[in-house]
Amino acid sequence: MLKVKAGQLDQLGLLFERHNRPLYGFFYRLTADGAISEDLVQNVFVRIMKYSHTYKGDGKFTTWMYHMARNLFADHYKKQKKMGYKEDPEVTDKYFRDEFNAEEKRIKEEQLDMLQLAMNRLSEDKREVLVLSKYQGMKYQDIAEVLEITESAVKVRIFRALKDLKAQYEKLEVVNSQGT
Amino acid sequence: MDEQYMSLITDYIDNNLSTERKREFDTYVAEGHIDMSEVEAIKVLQTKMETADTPEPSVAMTDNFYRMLNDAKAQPSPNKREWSLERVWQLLFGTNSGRLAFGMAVLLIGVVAGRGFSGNAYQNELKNLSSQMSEMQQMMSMAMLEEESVSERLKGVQMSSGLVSSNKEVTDAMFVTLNNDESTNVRMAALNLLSEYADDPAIREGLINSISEQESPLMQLALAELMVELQEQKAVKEFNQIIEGEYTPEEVKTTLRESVNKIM
Repeated sequence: MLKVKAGQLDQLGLLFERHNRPLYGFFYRLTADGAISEDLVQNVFVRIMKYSHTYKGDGKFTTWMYHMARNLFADHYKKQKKMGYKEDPEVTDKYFRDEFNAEEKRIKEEQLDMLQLAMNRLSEDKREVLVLSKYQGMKYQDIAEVLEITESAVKVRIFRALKDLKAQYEKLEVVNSQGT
Repeated sequence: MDEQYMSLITDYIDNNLSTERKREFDTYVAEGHIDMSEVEAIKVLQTKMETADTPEPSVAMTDNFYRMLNDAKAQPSPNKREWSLERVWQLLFGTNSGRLAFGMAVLLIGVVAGRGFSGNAYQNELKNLSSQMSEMQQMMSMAMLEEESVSERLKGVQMSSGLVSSNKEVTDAMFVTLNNDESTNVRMAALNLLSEYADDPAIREGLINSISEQESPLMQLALAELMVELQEQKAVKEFNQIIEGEYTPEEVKTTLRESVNKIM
């Protein structure tokens, strides 16, 4: 990264090769949308290039990168909200029952499993902490740095998120069993 | 549920409890603060998450990235400009020394601007004072020009010096004095004063017109001297009228003729 900062743009390719998949996974778990996730990954690397001078080199590069990724996701989320998109569990449940409706189609197309669907129903901060820890495999200490909270606050948030996820997952199981 | 239990459960699920913390955990379970069935269910869910397939991006994403990178490499100049702006911003506000330097610069600009403004205010005050002074001077000189005493009127002429040319009222008053004052001394003083401003076309015109107004040979000769000095052609006609005048003394006529010859 320090080489990118020094103006060696070729080195950005190396960073891309190393981090594009985890980043894509991060966005995909948050948005459940492949195209949007790819756009967001691209935007992260545009920002890395643009703001490379702000990287001081005293912390982990991944922490700095996920900071940017989070900001981009927050912007995207706000935009979505402005456009009026909001996932309503009741609506999703109804769609889930009807296998010919758009939601079902979307689920099939994007191969969303129940776990992902349950994830989608979590609040943004809970979903984010679970994605970072369980899917991205980040250490709690690093997550604490990215989220700018203490490590023990990260653990508390993870427990709450997992508990909530379990409840959502069980709800979906019930709906699913009713539908089949 | 207390947050301390939550933190413990998270570590338990991750198999990350030290012996001491494990003992603490077991105590809370035994006391019923922690529901083991819930914990185990969460653990199962977590395992499910950890074994989930990793979503894979399409090849297009990589292609798009390299296209963007190549574009960026091909167009370094606008980027550089943008970077330099951001760098300046970063230098100014991103570091303590930058912030300090910025603060000092603002302070310096403030001091300089402050001085500039107070200097302006001071100068404005001076301007006001000087305009008030010249107004007073004008009033006094005009009043003195109307005094009966010759010496007072002479003082009035003296006082008008500096105001002639820049102040039309004073200039007009001076011409009135030059053409109409009873005393030759006063008229002569007015002529001396006005001749200093003979470069001003309006004043020069006034002086030429004054030639025909003067009856005193002293004044006529003084004016002739001045016109020779100025080489004013327009004055010739005026002087010729005097030369041809019936009551003009012969000495004056001779001197004026000499003067006219000098002008021509």
